[in-house]
Amino acid sequence: MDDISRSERLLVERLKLGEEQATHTGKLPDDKYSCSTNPPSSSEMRRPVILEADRLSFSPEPRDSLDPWYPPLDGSSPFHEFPNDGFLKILEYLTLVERTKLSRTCRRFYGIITDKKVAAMRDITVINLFQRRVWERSVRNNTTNRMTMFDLDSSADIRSFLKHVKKVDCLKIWYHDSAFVDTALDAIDESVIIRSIDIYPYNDQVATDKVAEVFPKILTLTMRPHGQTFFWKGLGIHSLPNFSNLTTLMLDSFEVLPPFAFPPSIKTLDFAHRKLEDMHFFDALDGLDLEMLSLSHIRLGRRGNFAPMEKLVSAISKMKRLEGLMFKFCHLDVPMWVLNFNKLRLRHIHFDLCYDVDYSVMETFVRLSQKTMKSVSVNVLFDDDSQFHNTLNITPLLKQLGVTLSFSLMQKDIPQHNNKNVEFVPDQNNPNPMPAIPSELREVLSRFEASYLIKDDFLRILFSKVCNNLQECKFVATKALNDDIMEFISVNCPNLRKLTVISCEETTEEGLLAFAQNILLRRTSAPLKIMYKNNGSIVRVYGELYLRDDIKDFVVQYQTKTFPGNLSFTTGETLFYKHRDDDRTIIIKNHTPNDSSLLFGLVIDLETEMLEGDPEADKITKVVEENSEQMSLFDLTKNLVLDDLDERPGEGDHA
Amino acid sequence: FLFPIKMTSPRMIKLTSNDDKTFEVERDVIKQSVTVNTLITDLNMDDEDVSVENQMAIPLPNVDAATLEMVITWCKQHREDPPRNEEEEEKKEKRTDDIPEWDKTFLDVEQSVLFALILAANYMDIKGLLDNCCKTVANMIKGKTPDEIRKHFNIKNDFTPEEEEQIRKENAWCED
Repeated sequence: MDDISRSERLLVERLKLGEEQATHTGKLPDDKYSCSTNPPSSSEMRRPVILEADRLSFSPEPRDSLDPWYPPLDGSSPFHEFPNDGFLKILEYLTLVERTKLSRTCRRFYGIITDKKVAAMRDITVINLFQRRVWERSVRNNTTNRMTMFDLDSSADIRSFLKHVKKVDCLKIWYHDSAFVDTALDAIDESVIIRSIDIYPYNDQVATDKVAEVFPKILTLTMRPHGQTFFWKGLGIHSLPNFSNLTTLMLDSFEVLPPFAFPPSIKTLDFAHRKLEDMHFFDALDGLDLEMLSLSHIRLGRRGNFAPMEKLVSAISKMKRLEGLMFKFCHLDVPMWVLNFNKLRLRHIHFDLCYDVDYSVMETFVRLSQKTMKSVSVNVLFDDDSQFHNTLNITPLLKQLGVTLSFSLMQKDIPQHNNKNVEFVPDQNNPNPMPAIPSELREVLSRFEASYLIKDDFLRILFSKVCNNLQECKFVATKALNDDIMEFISVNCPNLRKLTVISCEETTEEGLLAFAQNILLRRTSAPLKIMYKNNGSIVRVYGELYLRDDIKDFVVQYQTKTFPGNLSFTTGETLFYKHRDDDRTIIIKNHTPNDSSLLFGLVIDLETEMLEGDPEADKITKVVEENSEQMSLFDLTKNLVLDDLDERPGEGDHA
Repeated sequence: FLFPIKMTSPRMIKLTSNDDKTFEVERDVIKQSVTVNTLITDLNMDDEDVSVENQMAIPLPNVDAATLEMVITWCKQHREDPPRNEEEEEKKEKRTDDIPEWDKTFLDVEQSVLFALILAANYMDIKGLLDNCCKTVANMIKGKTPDEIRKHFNIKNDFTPEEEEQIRKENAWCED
């Protein structure tokens, strides 16, 4: 087929398919419709409808009117007798500003729109509440376009805003003076359901008491001091007020000092501290009944000091329900005898860029939980030979115990004499070429991720044979991923369900095409979803597939979608490829569906602003704060849940 | 000898509008209406061995003939749409700038017709149609001042001047 006819076909196909449709959510009670529509009075004005028209050739004729949607000529409003439920469906597509404008048109709409019992805005994920000085001096420059900002003048404005808000996943409070928190929270009443609160002091004033007074029933509390001084050194806290329902607590850079006790209700604890000195943290763990414990940046064993690890293992061996244990950026250099403690019931253990993941540490944790262990997750630097090989070498044990491995590799340093050639050449410093990898790796591997990997030798060996259990694969800026390796994966990973390729310069549409061409090798009816944010256009894959002889056996659909951006329009594509007779399906996308979550930022001047200290001191704070804002972007947008942690921007202290 | 005929011709379903007009539509087309599809399944109509002439028509008491005709046309157009992934759709942003061209033209109708379609799509539970109709109306609202919205939809301003001023003040923080 020549190019012209192909592009014509593409065009027709695109017309035929239309574009992706957004959602309609929730179901309306049918009884509301008992009063339903009267037959429209103007049915003779209707455009004729061609009932039996061929769906391909059918194309409705445009009306010959200048304003396509002029108001009804008889002066009636289409909203008259239109049920509220239909009105609510339309409201779902309006922003807060548009809602308030609509609410100002008439009493009925004002009544509905400000009645949060029926018309509250959905999917509000985060409301950021900024004390103005914090916003202006520190956060403003780090903010994201996705946040809808409002400048408020008073507590009354907060109340007016909250007329549209019934439920928020997370309220984040950015403040300098705890008096600001007092005033702002007084404007929020019980009609707003908030599950989770983040407290970000830019000072040493920890406003937990006020939070506990207004929201005693929150489920999640996150605390992190900002501003260079407190972020790195940490703030000490001696107690937390009573939150009766708190299940998740995240403390970042808060040092717990005697007589601090954790709320007994917590099930998940995420604790990060870069300079932990006081050992009270480990004592405070005693007696908790956690399900998930995550520790970041903590020196559990280093230079012969194993005391923290000994205390930790003694505490967690008493936690009967502890399923997950996560170490991030921790020092784990401890001899095995330190780890010889009672049996554990861990199901998952996670070593994320720790400084020293020793074989024996991994082995001991796995063996101690060998009846319950389901998965081990390791994220190591590819350059770190010993950690890399330790991970490979643990796989026979994992195989034997029926444990799966989630393996992430990052390459940090580009080798000095890297000649930008992806071909494998044994290099001088590393005369031994990539050793054979244990065959068990391919059997236990359930998830694989590589970032910034340069040479393709490891990928080539790994994917040269069948990896039956591999379900998820992700490559980020990995030059080592080329079309050959993509083809290997398409052949040798028959149960793959998710593949993500982002900014891998050596990969082209050829590599993608391999997945579609090898669709019959798939051994699962679960679709393979490929997220491809990379070179080229998916339309090429579509074109190639269309030329195949067996195209009749498949359903192929290609859609494009345009996203208005700030400066330009970007296009997203989706390719849907399914075998007609079975469920084998491949879906390729190069855009992430923007999630529906709404992010608000409220900048407020409250009277507390008058109480500010001397300008000289403020200047110092400003300089200090400027350097500690890398995390702000993340804090602003994400409702921090554990799943999100791998999206977190790298904290480059892996020196 | 009926057997081969049944195999080749698509199964048809009869629908009756509230003004007593009856439409025949392919089973495979009307399955996009969750309401009708559920009814067909619940009544085991798929298994029935009756010809379309003797088949019971499904009454749609909330939909008039002209609207039903449009609904059927829309369903025919969209019969091969990829399946909706409700879970993913739930999480997706509510945009209104992604109405397919065909639907844009199709929904370029009088307001009364469009609003009747919303009610029909909601009653018959056809999510794609409902979405695109609501987006079309939302697009008419977007970018307009309260006064322009009133004019566009013939909405009567029933606020007293004092009330109007008070509501304006109350919302001053979210003026553009």
